[in-house]
Amino acid sequence: MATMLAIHTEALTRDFNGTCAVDGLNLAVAPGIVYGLLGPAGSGKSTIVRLLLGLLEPTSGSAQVLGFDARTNGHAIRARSGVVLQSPGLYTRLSVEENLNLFGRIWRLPASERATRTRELLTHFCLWERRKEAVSQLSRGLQQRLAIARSFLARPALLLLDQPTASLDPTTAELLRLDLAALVAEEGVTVLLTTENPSEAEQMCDRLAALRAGRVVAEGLPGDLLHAGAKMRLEIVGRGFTVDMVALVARRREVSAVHPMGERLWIDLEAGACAAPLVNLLVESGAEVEEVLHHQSVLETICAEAQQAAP
Amino acid sequence: MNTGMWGDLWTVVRKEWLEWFATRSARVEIVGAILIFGVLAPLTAGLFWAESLRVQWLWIWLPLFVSIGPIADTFAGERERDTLDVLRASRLSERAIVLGKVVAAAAYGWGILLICLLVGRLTVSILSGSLAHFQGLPELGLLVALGLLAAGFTATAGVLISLCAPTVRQAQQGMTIVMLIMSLLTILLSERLAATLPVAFGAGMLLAIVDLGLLGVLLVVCRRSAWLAH
Repeated sequence: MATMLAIHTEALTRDFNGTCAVDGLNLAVAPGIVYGLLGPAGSGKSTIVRLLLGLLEPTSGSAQVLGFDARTNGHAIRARSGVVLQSPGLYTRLSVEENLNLFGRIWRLPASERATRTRELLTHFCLWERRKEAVSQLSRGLQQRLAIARSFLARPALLLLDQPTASLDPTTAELLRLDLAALVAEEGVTVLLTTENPSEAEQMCDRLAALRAGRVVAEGLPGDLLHAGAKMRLEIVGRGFTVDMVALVARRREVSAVHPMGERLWIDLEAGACAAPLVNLLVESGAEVEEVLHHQSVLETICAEAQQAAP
Repeated sequence: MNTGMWGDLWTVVRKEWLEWFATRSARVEIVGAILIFGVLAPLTAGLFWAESLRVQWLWIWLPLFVSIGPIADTFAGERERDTLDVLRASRLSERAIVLGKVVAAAAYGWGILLICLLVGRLTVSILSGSLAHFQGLPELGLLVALGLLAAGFTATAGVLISLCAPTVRQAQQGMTIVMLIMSLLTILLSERLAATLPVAFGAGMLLAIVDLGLLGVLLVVCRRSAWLAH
């Protein structure tokens, strides 16, 4: 079974001076799909990409990528993979065409194939007319398009996209996602996409894992994770949440769990439950409620929790 | 080293040169160095410039100062611009990346040095109205060989500094200090070095050993990929 998978990790762990960036990660990515890793900053997404490419050694556990062990055969994995990192990482003094030509040489593509592939990809990403311009003349969005074109150049078996639309404005990001999705479908490549954006994950991915502090906390089809009606969560921001109050709320029939966290109260609700009676109950019991946030999914909750944890 | 490795090495060398020569300021800098070290200085020093082996010893180091900027940029610059991660994530081996950068840097420095030496000799020849300064092949050959070793030293030491420095500025500062020390050592020892050809040859051998030692250190350091990533 393991050899059939494009990516297979078992208890993959990586520590940085005692801080666990990736904690016992178990992933099974089938070939030909777009697999998403969704999590907030610091959840270990970029570390996972480096571990899978064999650029970082795991502290423990194992990772098989395209049938190669990432610890001992990283070179073979990198030779078969395309990568886009958060920053485009382009040679800005060189022209658009020279950048692709350079990476074509790195991947040892024959000159004729380099030229054909360059034309194909630059045309797809609307950069053909600007091929002679220095990369420094391009906008950030166009640079990221070029970085994505570069990752497709050698027709890789696996594409690792580490937050490719981060730091782009929403319109540019959306256009890039559409272009990327079209090309992924056309080339039939396996993709591992990391993102902090739930809607991007839903739009792009066939399967999704939600990460928190280096661990997978939920895994499944994006629709199931993002719109599962069974569990909804309320985040109530305020003061004066006492133990008695928490117990009172927890006894309600529509409430499945209550988690006090400082000046916040996280309340898991059953499907179809309303927030208003609970808020009234808290206010009548003496709590000062400042804000009530309604999270529709596990994933949004993770992102919200992480934002609060950030300094 | 197999043919694939040679191909990878050449790809990295080509990339470095493309980047270094891409800007007008870099080209102006090279032309300026050739004018200063190849024309102006020999014109000022006159025949003494070509006839004194002592002066030529020192002259081996001076044009190499021009290569400080590009060499300091090899790793520290790529790290600052986030291109090093992309290069490491490609199919290139770390050895090909490091050796490619060293070869590119050594060839760059040696190339400038040779042009300066040749232009300088030409300038002196025009000045004296004779091509006699192109004769004395053993000395000239020795200078060319010593120039290669000096360029090799600058390249390996510079790439190693760039690999370990957190910023380009710090790499440039480190390299400038190393180059000044080498120039001062040459000035202090120039009388002995220029005494006889065997002594000069011995000094060259010593420099070759230092070059190889530095290259070895560089390759050992590059095996610990964390240094590349910082």
